[in-house]
Amino acid sequence: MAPARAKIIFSFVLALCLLIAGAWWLFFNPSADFHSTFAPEKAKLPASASVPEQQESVQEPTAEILSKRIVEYHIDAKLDPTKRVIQATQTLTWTHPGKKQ
Amino acid sequence: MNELYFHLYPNAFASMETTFMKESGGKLRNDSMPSNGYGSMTLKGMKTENGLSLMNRLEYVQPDDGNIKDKTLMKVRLPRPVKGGESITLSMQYEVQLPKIFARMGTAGNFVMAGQWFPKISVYEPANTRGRSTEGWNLHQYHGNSEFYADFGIYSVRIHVPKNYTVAATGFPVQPAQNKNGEKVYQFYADDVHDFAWSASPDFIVAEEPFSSAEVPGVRIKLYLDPAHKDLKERYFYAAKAALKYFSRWYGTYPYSTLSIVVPPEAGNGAGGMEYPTLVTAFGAKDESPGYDLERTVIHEIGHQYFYGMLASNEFEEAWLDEGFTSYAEDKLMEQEYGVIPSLPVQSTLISTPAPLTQDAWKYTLPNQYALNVYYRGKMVLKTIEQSVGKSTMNKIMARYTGKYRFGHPTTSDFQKIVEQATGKSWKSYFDQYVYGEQMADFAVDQITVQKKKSGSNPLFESAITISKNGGNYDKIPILFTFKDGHKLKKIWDGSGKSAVFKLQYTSPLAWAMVDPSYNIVLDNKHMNNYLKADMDKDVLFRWNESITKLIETLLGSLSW
Repeated sequence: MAPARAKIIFSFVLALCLLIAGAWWLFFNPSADFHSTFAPEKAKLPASASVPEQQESVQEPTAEILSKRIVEYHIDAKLDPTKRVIQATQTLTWTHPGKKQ
Repeated sequence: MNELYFHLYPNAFASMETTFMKESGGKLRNDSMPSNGYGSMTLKGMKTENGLSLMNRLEYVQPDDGNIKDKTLMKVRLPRPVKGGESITLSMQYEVQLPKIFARMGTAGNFVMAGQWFPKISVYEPANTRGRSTEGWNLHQYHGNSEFYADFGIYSVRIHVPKNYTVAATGFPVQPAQNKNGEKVYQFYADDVHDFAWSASPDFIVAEEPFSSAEVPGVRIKLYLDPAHKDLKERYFYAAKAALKYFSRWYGTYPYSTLSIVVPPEAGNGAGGMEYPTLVTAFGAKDESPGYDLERTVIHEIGHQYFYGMLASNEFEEAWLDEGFTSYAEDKLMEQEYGVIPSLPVQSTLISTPAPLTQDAWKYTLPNQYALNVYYRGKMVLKTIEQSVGKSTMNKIMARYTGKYRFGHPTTSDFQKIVEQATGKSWKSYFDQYVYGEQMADFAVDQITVQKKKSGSNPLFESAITISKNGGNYDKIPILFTFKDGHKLKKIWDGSGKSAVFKLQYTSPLAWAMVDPSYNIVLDNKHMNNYLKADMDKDVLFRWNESITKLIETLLGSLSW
């Protein structure tokens, strides 16, 4: 989680400002102009990608196993936003990673 | 073994009497619980594969504080034991009443953040996991200051939402979302992750870009923007690509095929700045032209894909392994990509209540104590190691640590061993003071006395300067002496002993002395005593003014947060 930077920093800035009367802010760097340099231009989505029903990419699991898979969850969840409720069923398979009987 | 444990995290928001609410006062960071914002989880059924109900075998437990009003951890007594190496399958039915967002999960208007939303089994640690001698469960309730700890596995999750909603989730969809019976159904899959989160909103503006680099075989970066940030896509993508590229170079390949970034609405800010496997949240979109906090937050949360995601440390017990390490990585990338250099002298000054970095997260009880220790002091501990061993060795340390403990549950002592192996020496004293202990450094100019040794046309003065060590040890302490005629002299103190007296003979008396004049001792949190003028030691207020002026002069050289 990101920390609450603004508040911690703000309180300190306020204290300092008593001494240096606000001249502080002049020293911030002007914000830079960012351009992506990694993805080829043709691979980028057009700027108007706000089309409501944009098709999301679909993928398949790979065979590679990277971690010790202790848990396997299969969940079916239904959101009711008006009631702020999720109704769900889940099946969990858990593998005992120790030795205790 | 005949019992299992589950985290029912949404119950943290069930009343003002839960451990989370009592500890946090219904506030996290700067976000407060909205009125009537309670949430909870109701378990409606739990059965074995044979159809045997376990509903009368459940018990809420409170191992951390005994608060019986807290129902965030549940024990299930099994009808028959599970042996080591065996698997057990349980089916559950439950309902989550989502809280209104102030602490990571819940709803804000149309926006839904489902994090820690399902009954999640606790971590059972075999012997030798995280240094424990006998195997057993690692059990904690959900606290005001604590995050999570879970084991790796597979998630296959179907999510039904109203048909105008878009869903962002951990992992990837295995088929296009289907519209049926007036609802939209998504099917997501993720493996080698230890949590599954999703977010939904009818307002998301969606964009997707592929990314690959020498270190990243191929990732689809998916952006789910609050409309207030619809024009800031490029900034999010740029930050995400930089993070994927360089963190992969430094800490090992990002192995997943997707990375989703959710940008909550302003009212959902409490869900922002949060990490989940392959899914991160930015801060709430309230400003059309935010400062570097936008990039900083995205980079921080992507850093957590390593320090939390793949290096799945126990955030209840050693939060700094996630937050301190991620803050260190974040600073490094912010400097490299955006030229934003952290003002470590200011940040260290904020650390007024240092505490051990290996203490349980909820035991940091003073205001801001958790954040200032776990994020800032943790990062400074790493930065100090970097200064001591040099950047190149530090890079090797971080590469070895992230390589060796990828998809593991590393501890502080695992990291210490890596540092010791890489440098060929013991770091016990340093870790004992600054990591396991609560030390900060504090070097001070205590006293200056000037004696006239010779008068006349060739005068000679002897100035005696007392430097003292009020905090932890440090190897080489630079001191700057300035005489009244402007002559300057630099000396290094080896820091042995509690104090040292420097006697300087010169044709002019000493004007002032300053220990660590460039504020390079990152862990020194009391800069006001670094500087002393020859004739002002009694005037405390004056000393403060002078010292603050010195501090500001230094900061203005490289001003940024």
